[in-house]
Amino acid sequence: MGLRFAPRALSLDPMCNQTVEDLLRSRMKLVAMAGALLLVLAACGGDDDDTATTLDGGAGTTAAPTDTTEPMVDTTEAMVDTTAAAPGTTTASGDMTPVAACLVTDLAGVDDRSFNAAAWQGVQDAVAAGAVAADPILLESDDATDYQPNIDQCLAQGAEHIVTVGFELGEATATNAAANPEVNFTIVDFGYDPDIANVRELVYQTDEAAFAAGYLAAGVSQTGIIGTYGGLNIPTVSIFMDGLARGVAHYNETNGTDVAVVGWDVEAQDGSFTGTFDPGDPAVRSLCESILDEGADIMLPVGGAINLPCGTAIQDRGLDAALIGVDQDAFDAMPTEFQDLWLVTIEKGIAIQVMRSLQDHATGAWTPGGVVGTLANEAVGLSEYHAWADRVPDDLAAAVDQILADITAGTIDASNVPVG
Amino acid sequence: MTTTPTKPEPLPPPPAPSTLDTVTGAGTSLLRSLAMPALAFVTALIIGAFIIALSNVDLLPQLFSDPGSTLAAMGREVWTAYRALARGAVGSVYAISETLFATTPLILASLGVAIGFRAGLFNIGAQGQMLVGGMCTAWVGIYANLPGPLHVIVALLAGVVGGMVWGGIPGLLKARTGAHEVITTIMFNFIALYLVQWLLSIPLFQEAGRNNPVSEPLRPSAHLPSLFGSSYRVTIGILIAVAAVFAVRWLLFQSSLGFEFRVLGLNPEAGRYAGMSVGGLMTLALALAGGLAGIAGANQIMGLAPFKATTSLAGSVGFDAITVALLGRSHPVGVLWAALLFGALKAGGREMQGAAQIPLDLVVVLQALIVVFVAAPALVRAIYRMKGVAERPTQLTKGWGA
Repeated sequence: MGLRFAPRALSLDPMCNQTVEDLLRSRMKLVAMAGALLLVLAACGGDDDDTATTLDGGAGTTAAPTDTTEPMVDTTEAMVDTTAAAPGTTTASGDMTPVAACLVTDLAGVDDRSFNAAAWQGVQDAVAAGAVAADPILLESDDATDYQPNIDQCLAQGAEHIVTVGFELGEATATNAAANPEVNFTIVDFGYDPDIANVRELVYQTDEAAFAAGYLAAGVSQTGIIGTYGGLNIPTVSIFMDGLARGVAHYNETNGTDVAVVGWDVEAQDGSFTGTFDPGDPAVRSLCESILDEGADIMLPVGGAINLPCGTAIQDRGLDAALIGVDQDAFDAMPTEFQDLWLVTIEKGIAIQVMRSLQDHATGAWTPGGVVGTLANEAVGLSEYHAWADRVPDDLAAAVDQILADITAGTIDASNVPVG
Repeated sequence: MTTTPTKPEPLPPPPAPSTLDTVTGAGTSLLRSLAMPALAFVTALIIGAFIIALSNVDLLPQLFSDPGSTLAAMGREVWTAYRALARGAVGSVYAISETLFATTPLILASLGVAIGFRAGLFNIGAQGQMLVGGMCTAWVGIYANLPGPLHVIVALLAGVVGGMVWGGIPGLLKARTGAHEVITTIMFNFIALYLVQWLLSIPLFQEAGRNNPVSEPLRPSAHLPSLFGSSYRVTIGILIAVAAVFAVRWLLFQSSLGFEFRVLGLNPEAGRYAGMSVGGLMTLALALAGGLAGIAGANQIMGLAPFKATTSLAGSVGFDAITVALLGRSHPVGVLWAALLFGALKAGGREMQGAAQIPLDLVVVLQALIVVFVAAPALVRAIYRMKGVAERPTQLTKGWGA
């Protein structure tokens, strides 16, 4: 079928966990029988027409990566303005014909605080912007046999644009896109080779933000050692590590320092990997500890929640160390006991890209093919410093902002800055 | 579980082959045995209606200022939701196909759980048995080069064998060492999951060019033929499942092996005293249960595009099977109806989610409520003020102390 499985950083982690989570969740159904009523109130109260509020509060998926605390309406307007600059889009504003949209989640469901939630947020934002007709349809997949009938259900309800979330829906999306050429599809975190005439694929140049995060990490590190590890050595994971290492190298170059990176070798394209995205796997914590043992005091674990065992290790050891989050602003998305640990998060703006795809459809400017999220189109970015804001010197913060601006302007090519 | 009949059976005893049938409930009147689940279903729907009505956040604030039109709007919402549920379950050929498609693995896996219950064994391992059976099927389906019908049969048998082994081991452990099957079957689920995850990441199974655990697709000769044509997902798997219902009914209530299983469930000491091999029976009962779950696993690969094995091939079927077996009162025909109900709820729930925007969770809640009421017959009797015809005891399982 010629599928290319590049973008996976987000999709893989839930996937590996899901199998286990699914087992557990299913068993929960038995438990739920006891407290059925409570479960109902919780489930329905949150999921009904009120979804936007729930997600806004809970997931921190608000689109603009640089300022996640902004109210939703504001970011929506900001996004409309930037649409013109986004690759794969031609015009913004103007006449919009609201599109009937439908979103199919993968197994993690819409409350996953991760990419499903973010994609649904994107649909909600598109409704707010007038690009999508009221009451877009949300279909959660309970198991892998649901993908096809959920897409069928979207079609039966007259959807003109179907958003499929995640890698696991790759094949179902391809099949249905071929069978329904009059319907547009947007798939998150999946690339096709060759492209399909009615599918837009959302992929991300996350190394641009990781580069700035590397520069920042090098600036705040007291030991002069930055650590990183990933779930698997696959492009969408290693791109974070590449960016980090190049950013640290750029810091050394600029400031005449000798900050080292442990856990990723840009030349060899190899480094430290847990082999799992399951935060419960003891291998995750022991890998983190071995890197802490080498003196690292800023860590970038790449892959869902595999940063949490590292946070626990840092707390247990009483180290003055920090973590760099990935994908969603970890300060909001992750458990509160780790809030002091997040230096910054390298964010991947799924909501904004989903929203743009729908908006392009509404304005008639929609094009298929891969759309790369970058700093320039605000689909990749750095979060606020949150708890670390006081510990990042003003000149360093200014330098990081300058780097972000330079990458955006194209004066720094983050993917090709030499290391060593 | 040890309630004794307080009144004598008012109906003439059915023409059962063995007097023990009346004790195990196999011969009780069909109408009576359907009444309780039906009332449970109705009660669950009524409570569900309140939930749908009250979960509409937009309407709630007006409830007291304008009760008339608010209640009417809520009523419309409930009507829309349930109409969508019904339409999605049985409203079209597509809907019926989807219902039967979801029902197929549930019947098979639940029959396995029901055999375990009858033999006094709480088999929580259907999930793992499906996975291992499915992997064996995948192996045969990918590598064996056989003509169509033969390939299908061999692939299904491979699923049976895989499931039997995975079910039989906890049975053997219980027979030999007394290890409780609740613990071992749960643990075997995890072993199966990670075994499958590993198998799907080695070249023997993993699809070329993939990094994630997905197998090569089965050869077309190993695909289950579809029942209503290729645009509908239901396959001849449903026929296999229905055949299995009658086979298990024969096994449990007409064969001497089934008799021994039921004796084992009711009183293993009596069985041992009568010269039965209690350990052997335990092993066999769980192996048969596993074999049935194995077919369910095979069905999920052979009967579903893109015909590949994944770690999520069992979905939540293995756990839903426990619920379905309980709802069906561990009787094969009861399991058939309960599985159909759950299949219909699953297919209808999708339409409800799409057309009425009611979260899929409500379907889970309805399922849970139905089971709560089935499990607490006294509650339903109290609600409907039924005169107390005492339930005949249905042996489910011995408790933890067994």
